[in-house]
Amino acid sequence: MPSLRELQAAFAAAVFDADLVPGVAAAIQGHGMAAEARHGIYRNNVFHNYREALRDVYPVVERLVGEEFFGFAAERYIPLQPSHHGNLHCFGGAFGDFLDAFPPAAGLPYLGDVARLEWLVHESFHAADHPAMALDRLAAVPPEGLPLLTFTLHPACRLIESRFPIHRIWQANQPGNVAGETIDLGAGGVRLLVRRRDYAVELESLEAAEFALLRAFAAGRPLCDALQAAQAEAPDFSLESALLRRIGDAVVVDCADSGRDENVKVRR
Amino acid sequence: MEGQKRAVPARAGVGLRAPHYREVLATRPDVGWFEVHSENYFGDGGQPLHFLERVRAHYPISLHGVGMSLGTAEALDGEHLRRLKALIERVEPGLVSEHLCWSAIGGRHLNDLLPLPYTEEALAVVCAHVDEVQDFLGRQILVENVSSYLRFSHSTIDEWNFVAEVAARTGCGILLDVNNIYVSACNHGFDARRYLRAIAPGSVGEIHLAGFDRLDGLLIDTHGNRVCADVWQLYREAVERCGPVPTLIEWDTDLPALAVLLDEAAIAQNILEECHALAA
Repeated sequence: MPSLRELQAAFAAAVFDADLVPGVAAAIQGHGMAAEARHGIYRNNVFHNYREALRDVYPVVERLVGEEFFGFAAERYIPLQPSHHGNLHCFGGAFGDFLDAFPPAAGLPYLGDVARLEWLVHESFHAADHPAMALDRLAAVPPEGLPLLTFTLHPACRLIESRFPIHRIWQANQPGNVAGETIDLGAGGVRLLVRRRDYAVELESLEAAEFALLRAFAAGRPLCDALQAAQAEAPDFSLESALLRRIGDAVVVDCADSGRDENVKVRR
Repeated sequence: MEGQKRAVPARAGVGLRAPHYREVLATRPDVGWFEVHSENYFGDGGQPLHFLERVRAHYPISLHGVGMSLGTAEALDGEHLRRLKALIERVEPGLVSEHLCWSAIGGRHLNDLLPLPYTEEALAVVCAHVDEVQDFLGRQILVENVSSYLRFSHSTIDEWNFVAEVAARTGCGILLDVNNIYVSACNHGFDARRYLRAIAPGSVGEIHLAGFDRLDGLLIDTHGNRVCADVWQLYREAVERCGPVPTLIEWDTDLPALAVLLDEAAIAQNILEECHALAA
């Protein structure tokens, strides 16, 4: 008689590897139906649940490759990437990297980037809320304190760049859009800000300089470094207008003095 | 007063699902309460929690978990427990429930409601985990009987006695899923009424009803149909035994219009009221 741990380990292993089914079948009552077939119902349920979870997160990938190919890819991804959470929303984050290395998808070199974008959209949807930052917070910082200021992006903001036009691919494959638009893959790359507005996730194409600025903020680098990164892309980059706009639309939601590592105090 | 307002009443409720958020808020249907899957609100913010908090302002809420894996031979996931506790503090639900099953082993989650062998070892494991959850949350939980498509040869306890014993040993309540009893009774050839008779009436804190599908001679618990006539009859008998308890219409696959769910809930509400009138 197997211990509970032995039984569960054998059951789980057989879900992901058909060769291991005999190892658990001996513990299952037949009762008018083969033990293997009874176990197979659970195998189907588990795969069905994961496939549906992937379909929920990756509708654009599914629309690009079709339901059948998507199911085929999911079937191979599921045993390779074990779930570690009781929350199914955490499953599927490596699907983009998997597609990069999936030989049958080699003809669609942009697929991995589209999938990574969709995962960021998924993360953004569930991310924390955060109030906008009052502009006078910045006005209260003494000029000599500005270079070492760090800025925090809204928790629902994500940044991604691609050498493919994944923004247009994403837009053209939203529900309601009729298929048929031709997208030139040679149209060039894109730098995207994924952000939430009124609980809906939106994408925004950014110029290289602003992308560099926000990416430096997201990495926790101080304003002087972030500005340098932006100016490396565009020497005439206007920091003031970019900052005001991004504080205004709640992409930048907090700032702190990296020297003291606490919220900036109002000038004494 | 606040506490009473949040208690889940002995009325019919329905599952709250994202496609119905706006309609629920706009029309405020006459239904007793709403239930959600806890894990769907484990995110840090955004639309799901926003809508849940708005619905919660008008209706009592029940949190129904699908991922705790109470029957695992290993330790419970502490992070999962902490997330659940944080959600409970935010939503202040009238009821909190989980499933009598296992889902994870060896650090790997299967995210499905997998059947247990009904042995003394499994009983001890489940009871220890239910104790741990109730201690950590500081409140009683309800534990739901699952449907199943197989039974293990080395089980030594009838499922109904196993369920009753978990409640007796831990003080948890039972979320009696009448459809699951029916599905398993058909799949394994036992008497659903014998199951009902084994459950102490006072231990049942909630009832679930749902529809199933048929596949290769088995009933599959898809939550994708209306409640069948046999299950309505079994439900009536359960209410006659247990008295009126909160009753949920579950529907997860091929989610229909809200009106269909409310229609099913109205049938359950009638049965609750008829049985109550007879008892009075």
